[in-house]
Amino acid sequence: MINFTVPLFLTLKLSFVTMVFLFIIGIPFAYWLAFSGFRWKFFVESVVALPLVLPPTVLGFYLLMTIGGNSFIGQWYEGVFHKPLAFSFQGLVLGSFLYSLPFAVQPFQTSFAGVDRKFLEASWSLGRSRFYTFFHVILPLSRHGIITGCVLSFAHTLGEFGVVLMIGGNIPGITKVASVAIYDEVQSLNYGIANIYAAILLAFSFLILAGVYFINRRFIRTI
Amino acid sequence: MNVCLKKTWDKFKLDVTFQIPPGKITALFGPSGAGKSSILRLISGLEVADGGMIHKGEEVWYDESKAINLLPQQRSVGFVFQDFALFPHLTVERNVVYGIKEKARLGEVKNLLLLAGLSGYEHYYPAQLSGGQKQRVALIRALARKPEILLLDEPLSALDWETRRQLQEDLKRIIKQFQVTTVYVTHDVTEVYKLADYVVVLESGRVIKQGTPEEIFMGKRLSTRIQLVGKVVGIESDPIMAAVTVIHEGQYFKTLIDTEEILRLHLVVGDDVVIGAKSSDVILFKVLTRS
Repeated sequence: MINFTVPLFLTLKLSFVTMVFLFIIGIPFAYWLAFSGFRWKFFVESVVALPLVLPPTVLGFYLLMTIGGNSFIGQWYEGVFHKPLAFSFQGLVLGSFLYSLPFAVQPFQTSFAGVDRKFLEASWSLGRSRFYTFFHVILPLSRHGIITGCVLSFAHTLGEFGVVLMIGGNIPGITKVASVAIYDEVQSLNYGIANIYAAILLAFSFLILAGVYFINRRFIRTI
Repeated sequence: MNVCLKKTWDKFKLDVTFQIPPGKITALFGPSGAGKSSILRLISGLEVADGGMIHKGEEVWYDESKAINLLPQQRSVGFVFQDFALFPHLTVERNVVYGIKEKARLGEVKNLLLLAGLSGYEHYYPAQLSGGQKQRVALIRALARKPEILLLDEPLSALDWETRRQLQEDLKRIIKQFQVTTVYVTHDVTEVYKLADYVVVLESGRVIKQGTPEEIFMGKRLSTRIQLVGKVVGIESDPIMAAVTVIHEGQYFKTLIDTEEILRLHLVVGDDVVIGAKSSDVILFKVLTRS
């Protein structure tokens, strides 16, 4: 029974931690993307969107090159923390963060940019700073985009496979998430166990998405 | 307050110089596209001019030559937007307190709501209010932070005729109570007459006249004049001339004007109008009392 819960729990933990990082870093980043007049912004936007079109193995490969034991970052990390970054949970979080970045940042950015400018101007003309306006006007009026971004990034990490396999391998309890466990079980012809993992992931993903659509509909109705 | 602003957009050039008398209501009057709303945006700092200055007494809000340009947050303005721009996610009360920074002043909100006839609506959301109520919320929200200057961008244009007429009175009453310097953008001559103490007439981005409503609309300063606000109660017209009957405090006045003018003004029964006459046109009779 332990074998079941460990990969599932690890998957949930990875998804949650990734979502939290994406929320903390993604929101200011999306604000910058939505309101900055930086002329090379399209370049940054393209980089953010890359995981949408790139095979996960490509992202995983370059990430492995970047954080692997022979790389500068990998060696620096190992020097500081005395353990490798690749094939660790932290490495997985980094990979998932990049892999799910567009799923969080794009909904955040779209909803920030969609807030009618007149509300921002009303706030400024009432003497409130951009910082105050962000927390009291932009964030509340973007809440459905923020919920969508958080949940999509959570759900997307839940279903991650290629990147995880490339930079995490399948170390039980550390990097062997549910999607990798399914692959493993099928390789070992344990279709029954694979089916249980798959069914749980399917049901979970469906429930999450249904929840997002339900909540968003309610928010849209009340505003 | 002295204002001198220059700004060029793609197809429009603004070049205006005028004054805003303190404590009075100044109307920026002119047709659509004259640059009225742009001037408010420039005064409030929501847009930046290419040149000129905005001096408020000793204070400098904007001066191109000295490279001074205060942020909207640094200028003590209250801005009432054309479509009100009430925060849809905040209740009436939260909207009104939004600009109040001093905690001690939060208690004043009750009085403000009372003043605007909005007591009992504290916990309503903007979507639950009528157009007239939204307008009043927007007005007291702008006034709540005690601005040095109140800017109103066609505040009544989004409302129907009946509401507009009633709100003109409310607006004047509330603004006068605050004794705040006000700039009021409108293209409605009746509003100018009802509300303004001073008028700046604009056309194609230029000031063509400024003065009191009487000076502007009567051609010169007059010591005696007739100037009454009334309501049209009847229009009888043929293709050339029309007889318009106006009621003012129970008195009927009938006057002839070109039918073309009626069509141009879209004048209909129920409209508020101003009846004006130069003193030279006024005849006096002594009323003889029976001895």
